[in-house]
Amino acid sequence: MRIDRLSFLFPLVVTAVALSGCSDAEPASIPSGYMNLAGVQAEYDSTVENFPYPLPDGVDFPTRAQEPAATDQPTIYQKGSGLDQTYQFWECAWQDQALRSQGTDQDAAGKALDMLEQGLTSIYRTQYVVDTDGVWKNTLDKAKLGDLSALGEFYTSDCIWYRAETGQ
Amino acid sequence: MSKLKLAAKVAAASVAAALLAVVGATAAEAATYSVYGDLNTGGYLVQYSTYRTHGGGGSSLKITDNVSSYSRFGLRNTSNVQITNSNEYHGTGTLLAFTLASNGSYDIPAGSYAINGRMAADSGHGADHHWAGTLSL
Repeated sequence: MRIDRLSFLFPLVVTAVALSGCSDAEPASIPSGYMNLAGVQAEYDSTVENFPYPLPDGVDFPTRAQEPAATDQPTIYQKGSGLDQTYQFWECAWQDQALRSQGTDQDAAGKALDMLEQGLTSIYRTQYVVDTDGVWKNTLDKAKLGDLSALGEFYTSDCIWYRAETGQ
Repeated sequence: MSKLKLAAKVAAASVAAALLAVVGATAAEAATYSVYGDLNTGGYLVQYSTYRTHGGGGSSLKITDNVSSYSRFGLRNTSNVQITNSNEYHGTGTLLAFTLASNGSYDIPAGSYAINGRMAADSGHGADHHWAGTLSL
């Protein structure tokens, strides 16, 4: 009986919490498996705090997760959206290292590619990325053989946020 | 797919008005993915968190199971920007190629992309918000 009474109150509590941080662009309710922006930030913070791989020297994760490109429309984010951002930033940092070290510091370039290869078994690559053709693995393999052209294409497309945050 | 669809509908019912959506992908063949999920009957934009690695070139989405109203889908990059125009789907069976929002090109650059989706709001009781399709990327 006690549990039933508490469960009756739960939707009211959730609604109150949701409304307390509500903006015009936030939906009135968040379904299971989804988050609002605050949820994305919380997931991002938690992932950063427990991130299992090192960043290059002198690079730190941004304090804030990415803001949505369009803020005028109510948006809900599938769980994993905060985690995605940390791993994408991390991959971009090592891509940057590899590309900048190419031809000038082969040890540094090799280390950067080794880190990216380690990332193939990360929770991000194994649970939040689908790459049935092995495009990313092939890109890293080519880079290890000295051809970083494909890696450069990914850096251009995927690392806009990283470049903005780091001034690269 | 029928079992998956049934599972999705049962799950959605179990959370009453809440929308439970899962986007999964299995490869039917290289760079072609079976995608499905639930949209929000209130018309909210849904940003899915599964990314797919694209080596460059064209991309399209065919909707085989649509929502009760109509749906719109686009591709989002890792910088939280939808880089394609939204394709609008009424009914099923239509395959539409994605075009870049910047210049209308069909050539989607190499990169990592996730799906953005929304449906026209439908306040009808039990409005169908489930969708499924085939993504080529």
